[in-house]
Amino acid sequence: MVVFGNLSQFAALVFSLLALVFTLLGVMRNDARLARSGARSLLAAAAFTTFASISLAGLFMANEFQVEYVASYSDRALPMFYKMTAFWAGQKGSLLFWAWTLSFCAALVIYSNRRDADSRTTCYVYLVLAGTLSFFLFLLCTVSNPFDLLAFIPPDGQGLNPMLQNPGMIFHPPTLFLGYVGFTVPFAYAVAAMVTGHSDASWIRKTRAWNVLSWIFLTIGIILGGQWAYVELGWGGFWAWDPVENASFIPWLASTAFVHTAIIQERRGIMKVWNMVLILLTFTLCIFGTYLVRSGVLQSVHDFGATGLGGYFLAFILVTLVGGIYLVAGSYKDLKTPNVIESYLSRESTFLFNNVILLALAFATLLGTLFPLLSEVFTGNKVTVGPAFFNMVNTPLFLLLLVITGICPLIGWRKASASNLRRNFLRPALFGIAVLVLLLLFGIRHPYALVSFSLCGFIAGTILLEFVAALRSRDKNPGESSWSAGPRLLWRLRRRYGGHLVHLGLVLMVVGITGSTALKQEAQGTLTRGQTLQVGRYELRYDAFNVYQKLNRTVYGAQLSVFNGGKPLGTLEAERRVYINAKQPTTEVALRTTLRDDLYVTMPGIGPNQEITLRASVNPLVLWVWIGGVLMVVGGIIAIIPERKRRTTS
Amino acid sequence: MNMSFRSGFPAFLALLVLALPVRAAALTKTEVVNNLMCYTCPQEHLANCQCGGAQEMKDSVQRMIGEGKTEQEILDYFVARYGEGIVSTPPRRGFALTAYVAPYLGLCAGAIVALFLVLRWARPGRRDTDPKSVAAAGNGAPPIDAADRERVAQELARLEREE
Repeated sequence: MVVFGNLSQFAALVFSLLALVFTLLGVMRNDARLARSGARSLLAAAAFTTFASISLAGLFMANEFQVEYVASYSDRALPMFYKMTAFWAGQKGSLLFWAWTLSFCAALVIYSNRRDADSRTTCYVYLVLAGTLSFFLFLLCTVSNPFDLLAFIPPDGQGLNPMLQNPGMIFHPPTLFLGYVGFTVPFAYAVAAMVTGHSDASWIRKTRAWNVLSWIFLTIGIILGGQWAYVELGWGGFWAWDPVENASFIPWLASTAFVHTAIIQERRGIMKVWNMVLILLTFTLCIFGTYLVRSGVLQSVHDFGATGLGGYFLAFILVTLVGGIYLVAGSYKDLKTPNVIESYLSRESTFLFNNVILLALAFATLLGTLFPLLSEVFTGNKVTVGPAFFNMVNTPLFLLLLVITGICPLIGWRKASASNLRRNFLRPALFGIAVLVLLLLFGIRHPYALVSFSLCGFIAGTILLEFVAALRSRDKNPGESSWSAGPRLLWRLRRRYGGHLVHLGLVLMVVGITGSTALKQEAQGTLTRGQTLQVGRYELRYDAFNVYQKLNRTVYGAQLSVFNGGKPLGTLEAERRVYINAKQPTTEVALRTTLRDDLYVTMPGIGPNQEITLRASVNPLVLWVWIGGVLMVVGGIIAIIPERKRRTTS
Repeated sequence: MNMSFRSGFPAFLALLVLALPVRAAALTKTEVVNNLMCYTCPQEHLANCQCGGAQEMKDSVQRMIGEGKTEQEILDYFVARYGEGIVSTPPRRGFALTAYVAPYLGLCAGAIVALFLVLRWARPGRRDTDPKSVAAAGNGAPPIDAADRERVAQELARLEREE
């Protein structure tokens, strides 16, 4: 299986390089047959990358510990379920997974273009895809081969890091990769549009599903990562501004800007240059994110350490950036539009400002992430940049973003009239003010919480009032009730309301983030059996201590009864786990989740007489972060369902 | 008046909410802890670290908040004990100041460029230079009066609602 995997990987590289040569010749000679050969080679590369991936998965299943990668991330006791996920637990496997995802995307692009007459454009698209795939396959075959063998056969592997033995491991890395990889396709189309001079909105229309889907996957990946950190790491938060977290957040911000301005180009035919710059930036930042995890230049919980790949990635990023800038500059004349907008008070202009804020956020996060390096280069001092810095610099920018998220839908395309805007603005603003008054009445004085919640009220008011207004105008149809018209309206205008749902999801997330950070309550204590610990509105009583074996671990669990004002609410088990082959015990979070708050309990210490140290916190509104995340994803999916089926005539 | 209200009110509201005093609420442990590294695990941010030393530091922070110390006083205490490296926030002086200022300079520059572009693109005389409208005028198309313009605007608004 090792030989088969290795050969498949090399065959994939050969076919990918062939695709590169064919497509290159195809564009030079303007020959459709060469483009088709390029596509076939790319499909063959995809097939062989799939075989290589299946081989690696098979090696994990078969406990082939002579394979260095398998021995490093698996052991005999590891449940089958996690053996599959160990595939992307390390640097080499995740790189193969990246390549496989890209080859799969390339195959989908080829399939979707099977009847496309514009062979020149598709040839350029395949060229970019083949180039990117060749780069990853080259790294796999030369510097970072997951099929490398050890000189001996160890009796067992080193096992999977206990922190990675979490359901989050199934979906978080693959969705994040899909997000990163997905943006290669719109980037390839953008390059093709610039080179061929077909710079109208057709490339945006063709890649809209790719853009939004990649954005959705990136969103899912980031949210799942947060959820995983929350339940696994035990420090009670879901976002630590860790360099690698930031590395996924920065392209998310750039792609969010792109998803917005792509709409303008699609509807109004303007901002062509800007969209090219944004997709170039998004793609480069995706590669940069991949580089950051593998370079070893920054300290991070996700870091694979110094892998020797940093230089290759930097070179690839440099080539992409220089090539991209050269293309944008070269096709500037084609891309330049009359740039006529009818009023400074139009949605087009608010989108422009939304872009400025999103990119300022991306820049602030990038600068903060790289600042330890920059500081070392320029001053010789390696400063550390922690969460307080990011919170301080980014929070006002986020609030500004919320302001513009609320204002944007109030302003129509092309030109808003003063009376419309005033009428549209006042009522949602009243929503925001009502929220502010209510919070003050409930005794909340945290300034950022007040501002953030009020802005959330404002945005939610904007969206709800817009929907009600649209519903009213629909309700005039005879025999149609508001109840039946609502879902129909949502479905009929799914592109618009999908977008609104995304914004509503963002509002819920901000509510959750603000609540859980600004209004958190904490307590800590050492308890013997029967003793209690009060945290916020909850009381925890330590009832029993259990020790038992489960799968590949020994569990030391403290059984706790939860009360609220004397009323029993159930039990929780805070655990310390000792995994087979793990050097240190790990802490498992006990969690009681409600819509109002989370009771979050960890057990950092166990005494000789089974007295336990408990650390508990009440994290308000956390569930809304995840509900908001789901809503963002659902909204995104609704927005990309095609609105009308086109009939094709033969 | 309408004009100034229209453009001024959102800006006023935004300024109002952003101008709320940042330190009006009581200092929380998390706010202070977010500024510190763990003294036993120098690569770990204190907020995320679970070791015993980290817990000691967090307890000290809680105690000092209880004693009514300010954030700066607490940070100074840790700097005096463990040195400058214990603070995980770049100092607000010298080169490190750029990390704080640059994003806002970028924001201002971006906003100015965006404003400049929007005003230029939306300049009333600009449409006359649009080749299409010039061509249309050359073909003897009748001039559009204010009422027609309003009708077109209404129709466009209606279409947008429909779409």
